[in-house]
Amino acid sequence: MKRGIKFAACLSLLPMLLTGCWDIQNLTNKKLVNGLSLDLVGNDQMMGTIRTIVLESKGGGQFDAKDEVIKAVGASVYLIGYKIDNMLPGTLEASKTHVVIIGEELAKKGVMAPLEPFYRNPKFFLKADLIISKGMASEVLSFNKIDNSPVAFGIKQILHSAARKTVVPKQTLYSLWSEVSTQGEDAIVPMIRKVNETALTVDGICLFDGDRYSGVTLERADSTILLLMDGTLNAQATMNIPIEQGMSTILVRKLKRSIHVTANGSTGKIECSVHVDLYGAIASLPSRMDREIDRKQVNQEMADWLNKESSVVTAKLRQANCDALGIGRRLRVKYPELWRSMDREQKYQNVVIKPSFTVHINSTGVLN
Amino acid sequence: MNSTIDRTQLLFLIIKTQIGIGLLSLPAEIQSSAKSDSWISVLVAGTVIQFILLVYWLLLRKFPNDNLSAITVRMLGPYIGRAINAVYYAFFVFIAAYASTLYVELVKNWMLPLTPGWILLLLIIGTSLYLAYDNLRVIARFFVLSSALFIVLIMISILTFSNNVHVSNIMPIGQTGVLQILNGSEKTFFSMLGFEVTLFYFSQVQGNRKGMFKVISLANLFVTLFYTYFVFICLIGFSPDALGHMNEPVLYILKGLSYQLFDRIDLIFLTIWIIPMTVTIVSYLCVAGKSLTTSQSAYQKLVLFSGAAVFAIGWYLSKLESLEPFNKWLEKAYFIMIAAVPLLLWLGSFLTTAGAKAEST
Repeated sequence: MKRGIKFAACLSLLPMLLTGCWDIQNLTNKKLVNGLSLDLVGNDQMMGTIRTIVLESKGGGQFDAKDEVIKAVGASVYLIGYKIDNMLPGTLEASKTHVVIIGEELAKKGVMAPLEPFYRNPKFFLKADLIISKGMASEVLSFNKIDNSPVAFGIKQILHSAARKTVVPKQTLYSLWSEVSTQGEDAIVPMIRKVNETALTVDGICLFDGDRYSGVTLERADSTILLLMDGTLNAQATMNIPIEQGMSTILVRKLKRSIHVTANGSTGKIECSVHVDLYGAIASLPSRMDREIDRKQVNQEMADWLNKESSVVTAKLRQANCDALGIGRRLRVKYPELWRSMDREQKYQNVVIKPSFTVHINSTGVLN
Repeated sequence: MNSTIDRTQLLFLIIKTQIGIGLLSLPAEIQSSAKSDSWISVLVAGTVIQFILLVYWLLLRKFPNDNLSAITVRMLGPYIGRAINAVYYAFFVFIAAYASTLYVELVKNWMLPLTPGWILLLLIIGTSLYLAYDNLRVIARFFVLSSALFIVLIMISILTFSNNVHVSNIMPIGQTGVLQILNGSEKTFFSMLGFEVTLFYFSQVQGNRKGMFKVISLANLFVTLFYTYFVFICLIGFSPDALGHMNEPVLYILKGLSYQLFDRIDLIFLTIWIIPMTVTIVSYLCVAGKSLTTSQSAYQKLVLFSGAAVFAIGWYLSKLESLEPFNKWLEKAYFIMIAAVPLLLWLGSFLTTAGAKAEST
């Protein structure tokens, strides 16, 4: 009896060694996709482009990495993947895709539907960066070469350094889903574009309305202003501000932001006041090389310009119907009754956003 | 079957039986009713369980050296008592089979899509049998040892706060209304099952029974807070809309974490989570064995038989298209067995003299 039981136990434990047989996945049979892009072609077809690395043996244990581009057209992302898979030796593996670029036109029709399979598949890397491209995304992804590294990684680096400088937000597939599906908040996504066919640059923000790109973008200074109003400051923000003494540059290192939403019960008027305190150092003020900088005056002038410019930003937000600041979210918490009864789409147009900036220069570099 | 356990071991036996596969999908399930107040639902369910535990305590206090199967026999006589015990046995086997089916489905969905279900089932049940076959003290020691993993799990979960979290998702508190919250509690209750093993393990605790209610309550408190915490991080980590569309939000939330050194934290978490899921099955196999037998050798034979039964039922269940109808029926009936029957037994104990006798012996 004892022996029989032991035998049975061993027999049941042995298959543990077999599990690899079914779900084994050899790296050598994989085609790792490191970047992909989606574009709208015609009315309802999509073109998918992928970047994958092909290792070519040069002999002597040396490998040459070749960055390949493959394109296919289909009605769904999965179909495109299927087609591309058939063009390549080995199975397509999207679990290491770091960059997903979506073409402007497709983004205007909504991004969640094309991205759905990535959310459904347990293997997909949801921390992949999402970018919207000006023009065709496949052109961006088929870009020749960035710094000798595979293009997808080059794009990722450009994006991350832009995010570090608070020019664009960090937006991943993971964070996008929550933002897009929340009522009372809209997503903002970095935009990538080609500059004169020679370089790629990430310097703008696409404003979303629900899961659609509204077509309105904020560029450079404006995008940074929006991020600062939203309370986001990554490593630092560089702001070039024209003041009376000429162009000045301030490095913002610290940010204090307070936001208050108030609604008037009887008139239904909604007001959102955003106060932003910027602390930082003057990086450059060319006309003041020979004189001391009057901090107070510069503070004031910079704040004036920021206030003026931020009204441009709020106008664009309204134009895009994009609630990037999460006013709806605050409204829902503070005035749940009002939130339930109001027409949210319409109401946003009438929200008064009152930004006010204060600048505190606490350093002028090693010159005074 | 004279092996005794101490209080700490009892604590972890209860906790580990309760925490299992149910938690992973819980936040999504309550989402359909309690929405942003899901966390309140969990607290309410914990309170309900506390009341049931109070009944257990009152009943067990009267029969300090008997487990549930001995109590039924003592109070209702050998025939009816054994019949009820057989029903308990069947339920425990069903619950174990149901849990292992869900478990296999989960592993197939997230990790091993191509591996045949019966292999996974065999591995789970084989491992569980190996432990359940031993006496309670050995089982309890393993439960205590493996509880150290909760620290790892909690630490991993804390990392999710580095994602965008919005505490405003749960505001304003109480907006969904009492009815919806209670509705959510009902769902939560069934994923918190496992506390009923108290009825079987309690009598094997050494020493006097003073302060034992505290131990049981502490177990319930821990489990309730643990569940509330996980529901809470899911609520603030996802938008309500997205949360409702996931099968296992607790795993999904970890997909948002990625580090230079570690990636796919969700799979690491799931790999660790396999241990609490497996010990739940161990615990059910063990109480199933205890519900019909008293001697260790008979117990071991029954455990082997139960293992085979769990495998067979699990296999059958995994072939079903949907577990929904089965699930509904099982939950309702099980609720009667673990809440109503002990309550009736306790009330009945006032009528019979059996309680008084047991105390004097």
